[in-house]
Amino acid sequence: MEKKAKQLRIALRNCGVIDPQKIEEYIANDGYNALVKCLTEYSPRDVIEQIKKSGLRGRGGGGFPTGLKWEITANSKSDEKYVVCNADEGDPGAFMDRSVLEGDPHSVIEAMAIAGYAIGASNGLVYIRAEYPLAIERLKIAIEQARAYGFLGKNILGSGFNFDITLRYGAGAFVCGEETALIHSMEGLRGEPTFKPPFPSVSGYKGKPTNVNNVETFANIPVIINKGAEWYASIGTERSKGTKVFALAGKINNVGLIEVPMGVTLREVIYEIGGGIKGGKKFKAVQTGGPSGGCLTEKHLDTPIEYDTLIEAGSMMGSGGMIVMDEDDCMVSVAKFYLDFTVEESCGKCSPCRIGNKRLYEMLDKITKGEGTKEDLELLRNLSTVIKDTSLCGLGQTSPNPVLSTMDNFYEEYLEHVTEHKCRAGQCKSMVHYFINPDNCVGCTACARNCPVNAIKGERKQIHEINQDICIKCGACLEKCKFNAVFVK
Amino acid sequence: MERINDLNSFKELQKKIKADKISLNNEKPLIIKIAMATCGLASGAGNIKEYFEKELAKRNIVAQVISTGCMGYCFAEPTVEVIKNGDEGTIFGFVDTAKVDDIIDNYIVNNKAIEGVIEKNYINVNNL
Repeated sequence: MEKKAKQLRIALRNCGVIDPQKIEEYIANDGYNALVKCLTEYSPRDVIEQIKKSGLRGRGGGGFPTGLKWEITANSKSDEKYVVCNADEGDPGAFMDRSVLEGDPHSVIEAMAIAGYAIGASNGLVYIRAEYPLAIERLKIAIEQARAYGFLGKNILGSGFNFDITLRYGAGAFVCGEETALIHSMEGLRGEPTFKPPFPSVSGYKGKPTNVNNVETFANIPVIINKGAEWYASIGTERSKGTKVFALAGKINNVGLIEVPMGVTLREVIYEIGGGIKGGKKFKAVQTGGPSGGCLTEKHLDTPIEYDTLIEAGSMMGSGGMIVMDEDDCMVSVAKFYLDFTVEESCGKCSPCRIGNKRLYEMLDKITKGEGTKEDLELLRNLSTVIKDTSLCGLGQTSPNPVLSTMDNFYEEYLEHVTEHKCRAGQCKSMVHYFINPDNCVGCTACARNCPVNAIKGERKQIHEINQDICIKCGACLEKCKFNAVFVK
Repeated sequence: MERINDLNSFKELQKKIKADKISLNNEKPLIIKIAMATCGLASGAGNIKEYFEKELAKRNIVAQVISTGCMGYCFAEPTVEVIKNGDEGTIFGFVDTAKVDDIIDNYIVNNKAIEGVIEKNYINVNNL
């Protein structure tokens, strides 16, 4: 069994294993060993060299080499620098960072102190959404314990290195996961992005050099220091090293949190670890990268999971949300769902994102209502490209991706919606009609009794009929019928 | 808790914590881990922990009941891992109070194999 295991847990090594509220349990599993090693054996340059050699790339989704980011921040001259942990996890269906903070907060604290040592910062900030109360509570307890042992504070381990961490709460705005918006939010300003460069590594929080890393990126750091950069670089593929945590969700049997070495295929993740599609239905697509990502299909199932291959396939790694869809999911509705999210979360600063996404949403809405035309499809594609090219920050530059990738992979489904006014998944309510099959109806009256608008007529033990003019397509009759007499067309 | 001021005192602390753990394991203790992240708590892991503690006390069984973070098996919350006689541990899913009784009476006391086991499908870097 051990040999066949597809998962390797590095970032999740202590999640579900130790009591996160006891620092001793963390220390028993080599906790704070890496910080001590850095302070006693390595110069800050050595630490950066190790991280660079490990090949670790940002796990928040961007995939920027972590060691390089540290080096740039270390090279920026300033009297004060900051280490920021981005815990503003906001993709729908993603909960990797929350799990790490709730299950192993010390690994993040230790890594932030290591980063502080490497870049020359004595202040750490965790930007965490207030919607994660348990993660905040456990992080607070962990910080207190680390201070008591002297892993945080002044003159850590007698090395002369000072470092402490404070928490900053976010109100749960998606755009605040973008590092410049995150920094502005911490400064007490509106959570709006600004143009890069200057990058935060040069001018960030309060205008000082700031190193922003994601929770999962930090969780990998202590293991890299303890086991060595070569060991870490031996896991994964040539351009993507180490492991990645994914939150498996959607129409999959084993919904859960997994961690796999880079380079395993989507098929292995969905069918072997995830246990396949719920109810034995047919796989249709998997959405990765959240609202910035795209949908991958059957033909991508054997694609190895890497930063670059996923981008080539028309999606992206993202922070690790993976939503599996089956034959009952309508791809136009899926695109509409993500656009609805983006419209809600757009900060409104730049017009392509503020107005463009709203128009995209309206067009998709029109198509799902059966009122779309072929011209709309053309317009959808054009507008998507314009939004991508002209938006200020990553949110707008990627928000049309769900539209483009579903159009690329499921164009025939879009066409059906506009030419035949048909939704093959039966999701677009305005295009489907409910009927009763007279051969199966026994006249039990269950459907008529449960119809909220009294659209079903028929005497007891007589065949029932649905009045299409009154029917609101709620599906209650289909659910209640025990004789398979109600069908959708 | 004493502040660690140099490398030696850290090594001492590490040694002490690890030694405590080994001596505990030599006595072959019973460890019950309950996944209590937001997901577990939302599915009732808090009640399961209380029930475990109550039922173990009732039967005079000595055990460490530990609340951990997420074990990753969201589809089967609440999840519980039972480590007995220093073994690798067995994870049970969909644990309710009836399952707790089943685990204590049959799995722990009578050493019988019971249903509801979730296969551990990963390698942990801590064990490499």
